[in-house]
Amino acid sequence: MSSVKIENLHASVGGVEILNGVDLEINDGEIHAIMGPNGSGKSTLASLIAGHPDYEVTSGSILLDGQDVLELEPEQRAQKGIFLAFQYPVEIPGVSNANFMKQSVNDIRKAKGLEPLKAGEFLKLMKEKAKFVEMDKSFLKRSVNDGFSGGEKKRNEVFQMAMLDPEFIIMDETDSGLDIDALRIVANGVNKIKDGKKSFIIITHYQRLLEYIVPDFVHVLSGGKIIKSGGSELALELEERGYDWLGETNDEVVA
Amino acid sequence: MSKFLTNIEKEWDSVVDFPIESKPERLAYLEDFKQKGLPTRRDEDWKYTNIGFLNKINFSSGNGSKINSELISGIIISDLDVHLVVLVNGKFSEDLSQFESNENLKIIPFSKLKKDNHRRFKENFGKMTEGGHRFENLNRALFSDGLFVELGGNYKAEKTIHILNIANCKDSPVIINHRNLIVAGECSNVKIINSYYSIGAFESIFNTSSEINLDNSANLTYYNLQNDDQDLSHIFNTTRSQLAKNSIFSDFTFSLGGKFIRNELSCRLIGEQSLANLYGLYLADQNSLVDNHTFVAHEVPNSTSNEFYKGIIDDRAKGIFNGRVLVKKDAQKTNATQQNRNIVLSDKAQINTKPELEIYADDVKCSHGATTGVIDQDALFYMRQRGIPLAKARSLLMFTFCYETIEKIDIEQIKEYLTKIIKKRLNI
Ligand SMILES: Nc1ncnc2c1ncn2[C@@H]1O[C@H](COP(=O)(O)OP(=O)(O)OP(=O)(O)O)[C@@H](O)[C@H]1O
Ligand SMILES: [Mg+2]
Repeated sequence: MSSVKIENLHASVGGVEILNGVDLEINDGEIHAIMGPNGSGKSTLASLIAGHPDYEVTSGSILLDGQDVLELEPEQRAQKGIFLAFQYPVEIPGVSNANFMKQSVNDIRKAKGLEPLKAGEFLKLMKEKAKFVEMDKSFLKRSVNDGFSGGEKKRNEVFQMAMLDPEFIIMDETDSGLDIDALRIVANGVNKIKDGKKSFIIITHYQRLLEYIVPDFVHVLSGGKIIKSGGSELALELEERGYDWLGETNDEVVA
Repeated sequence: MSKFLTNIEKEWDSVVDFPIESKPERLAYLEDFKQKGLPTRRDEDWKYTNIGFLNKINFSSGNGSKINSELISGIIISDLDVHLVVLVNGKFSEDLSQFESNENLKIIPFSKLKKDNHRRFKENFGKMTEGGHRFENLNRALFSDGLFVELGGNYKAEKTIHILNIANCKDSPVIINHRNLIVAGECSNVKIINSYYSIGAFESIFNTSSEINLDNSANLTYYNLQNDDQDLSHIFNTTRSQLAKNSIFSDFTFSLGGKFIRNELSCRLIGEQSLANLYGLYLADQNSLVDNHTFVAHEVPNSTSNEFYKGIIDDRAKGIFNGRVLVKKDAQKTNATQQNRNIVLSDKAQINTKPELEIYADDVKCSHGATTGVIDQDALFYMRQRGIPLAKARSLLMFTFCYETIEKIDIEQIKEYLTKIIKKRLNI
């Protein structure tokens, strides 16, 4: 289970205020989509939840199942089940995908007081999840994201998500750069993982993904604030009408 | 007179006539050294490298109590079948060594060598170090022993040769002047390890001078493994190589432990289609210093050099990389790359890196690059987001950085040996 409560979150990077008062409440098992213009602070919000050290929270709070997350190191947040599928997955030459996942799975298990997986069990899990996102086995041996195409990187994020079986998942434009088949695979991946208890934030610019993954709520983040929330039909409306009609834009943060 | 010179004078008194070179023949080298004295930081080549410690250590070439043969098994590379040549305080140790020498593969300590019996020795001994720098002259004056290795034409050595330099400093600080002369005949093939180990609670100063000659189409790989005492070991290691037509010389220099390490490596490509690979990896922490000076001279057309040095500097340690590449006027179609990459982990750590390219030919492909950075913060965050703790993520990234060099080694056991050392250093 995981519920998330974000209250009056203000944050800045390098002295520039990027989020100015975000409120968001996600109950167990809910899917929330966040849309909004470029540079409005969507990735910043995602990074903050995951604990990126460059972003400074100036006020407000993030609670996961009632616990203050801001006190925790990024790895502790991950160990508590927070997973961020990055908008720009990072390349790590020299660390194989398989080794990366082995460290990751076992470190998370360790934090939960579980024994590391046996080599055989791990291999089985990895094969199963690779199949789940229709990722060729050869990607497991390759260095993490190193030389992967844009779409392959995104698929690798979903693979990692499946491996780690997190509780609270933030997908930051996982749909961008995917071809139609890949989009379907990613969406199926999410739908299969979703078990009524896991909660999601899906950051996207397109209604397309939301046809596959139907959100419970859609929010518009603009100028570092949520300026409108609604049901899944809001995404359609935004697709048709853009953001201008909502009034407030993010002029103040666009450089 | 400085304390260093006083100690050197004492050493000179104990130099005896050698079958290969008499004491009077060596006097000129001593005189040369004395006249020039120790380099100071005003010398361009020593600008960042302070060797003041030489005047503080009361060394001698020492004898020290006996070295236990059981100790050897702990310092050599496990599971690697080698010709093992052990020198203790610069003198060949019959008891501790284990190798076979024959007409095709001569492995002979200088102390046992009759130079008139070995044409290639006579032709090559001291030739490359002639007119060399101060520490080479000091070595030539004081060397207590050395190793001559000769490979006959077409001979492919199955076993690696391991030259193990032990400093026995149980009783007092020790200076070791030891030489290697390696001659690889036409189309021969061999791999040689040169490693250092100090035993005891006093300081050691190694001053190694090696000459490596590759005949046409010879292939020689030379591994310098420097993983000695962090507080007491000081290494001056000069290697000169000469590459004839189609020959391949690969040098690996791993500087993983030592209070002070100065490597000077020079490669003269004097035959067309010759190839020199220079790989270096250094990990310096605490108060240590690692200095790599390399020199690659392309003297004829169509030769290639690949140079790839990288290192991690932590605490108050210092790293110096100086890579000189010379492309002579006639050396058209030269292909030379040089890269130096550094990770600096602390505010007090320092790295000085300087490429020096002198290119006199016009149709060449030369590239060089030097980077100094910190650990990739994005990668670090990415790994932590996947639940991997900060310290481990850092270590993994540093290991990856190091492994790029280890990976190029083609002997599995050396790879494993170094992997183990590096993992231990990085706490993984
Ligand atoms: N490290 C940083 N330094 C300076 N400015 C930053 C930094 N990170 C983000 N910003 C700025 O903060 C604002 C919000 O960026 P963010 O990446 O959160 O936008 P976004 O909503 O995810 O946009 P997009 O839809 O293009 O992905 C932008 O104006 C951006 O330039
Ligand atoms: Mg973004």
